[in-house]
Amino acid sequence: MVEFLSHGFIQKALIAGFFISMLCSMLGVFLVLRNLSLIGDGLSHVTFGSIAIGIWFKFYPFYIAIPIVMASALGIMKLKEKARLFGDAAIGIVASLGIASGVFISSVANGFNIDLFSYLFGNILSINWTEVFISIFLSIAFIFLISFFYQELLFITFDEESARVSGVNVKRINTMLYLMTAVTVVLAMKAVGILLVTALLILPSVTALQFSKGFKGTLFISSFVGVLSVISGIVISFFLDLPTGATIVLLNFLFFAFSLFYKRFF
Amino acid sequence: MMDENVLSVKDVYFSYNSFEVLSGISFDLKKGSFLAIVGPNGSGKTTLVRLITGLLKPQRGDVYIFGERTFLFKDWYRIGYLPQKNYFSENHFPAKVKEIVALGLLSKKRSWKGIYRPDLKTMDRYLDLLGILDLKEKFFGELSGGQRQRVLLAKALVNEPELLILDEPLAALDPETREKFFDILEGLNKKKSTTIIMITHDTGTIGRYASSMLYLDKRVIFFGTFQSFCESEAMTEYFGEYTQHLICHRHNTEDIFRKSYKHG
Repeated sequence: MVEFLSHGFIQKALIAGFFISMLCSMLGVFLVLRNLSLIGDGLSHVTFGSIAIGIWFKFYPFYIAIPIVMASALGIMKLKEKARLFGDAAIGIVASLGIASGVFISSVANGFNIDLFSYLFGNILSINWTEVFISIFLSIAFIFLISFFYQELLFITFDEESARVSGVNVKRINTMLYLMTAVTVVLAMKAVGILLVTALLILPSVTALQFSKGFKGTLFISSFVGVLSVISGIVISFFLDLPTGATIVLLNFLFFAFSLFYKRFF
Repeated sequence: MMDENVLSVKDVYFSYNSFEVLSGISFDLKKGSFLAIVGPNGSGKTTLVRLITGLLKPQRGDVYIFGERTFLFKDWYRIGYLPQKNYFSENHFPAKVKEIVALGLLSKKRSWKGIYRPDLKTMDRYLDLLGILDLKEKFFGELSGGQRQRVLLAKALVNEPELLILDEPLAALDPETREKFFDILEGLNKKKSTTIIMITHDTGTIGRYASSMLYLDKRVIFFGTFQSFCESEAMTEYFGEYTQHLICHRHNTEDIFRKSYKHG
């Protein structure tokens, strides 16, 4: 184990994984309860398109993806508000645009398919120190925002209309939630890949929702499950030579299955 | 401007797309009033409340709360609101009753929104008043419809609002709880001069408590006391003697329109 922890790439993966998974799990609770579970999926499709743009223009894809995915998150919000679309229809529109752009650019640019498709499955073991520091900084900043606006987030999750009449700036809080989700999806892409980002957002929160422990308790359990699955996923995948992203997601699913069993029999 | 009025609605028009829902609505409400808004389904009652609470903006006319236009109004802590919403979809919502009620305190808080000892005492007082103190640690999703409604009323009251707006709050309540609910509202209205606006179909019970009644059917058909409605010849002419009699003699407006339709 000491030898395992002495590897630089393992240290980086564990540190980044800890923060990213905690953030995903906390945000996931709000998204699931607001019927926005699939926003992660939609934004990860946009990430695919923006990574293609980054590779095409020879920019570091991470930096290109963040602003584009943030803009897309706001686009989903506006489509819902202005075009009066139901949540998942707006997500579907933006997701299709993202994936179509990615496929189109990779076809036109011809020759970077291997680079692009490596992002589909991610690899937390290849994360570099810059990405680790960005992940730590943004995760701490977002967890602080969630704590600071906890009551507002809880209120609009429970009943947006009443929250508005109580003077909560619903638009500001929603914008904050969508933007945080966008950045988190880009961060999580490195951990589990574009195709599996949704799992990091949804599975820990639906697991936590099986244990009735109050709203704060649900956030805590969700974070615990998320962190546990990422850390154990990294360890297990290293020793058994398995793909890390998929191992993390399958462990998350196992925890979810256990929570259903627990709820049924205890 | 218009300080003596808690609420002033001035010639308000509102349409959804091209479908006109409210036209030329005007009325004032003084502090300490208890207004019942009644009318058939689709008469614009909920739309009016949504205009009053600033959730919708009138296409013409203005709504003033405490002398301020709703879209400029900032003191939302002065208002308690219980919307018409089907909370049965919240069966899996993980919050406890105390967490839901605490949300009602949010509009008074400025920076860090913690819940402190005096807040807990106020919450306990209202939970006790509504007979649900023992449910404090329960999950909202575990409660019956009537219990949920009382929790939501506690949330609307915990801020001790000057204006309480209730959109069909009686639907999920059994007759006994309904009476208790009215007693609580009457206490707030009489002892604390809380102004109350309530949308209801239950003209039977509301007539005993409300100081005024607004009969809405996309426009104001009647605004005045319940007694003056029953004695109004204009209303007899508008509704017919039979329907007016039904409204005044404690029936439910939903039944009234069904019956008067059959009656011809």
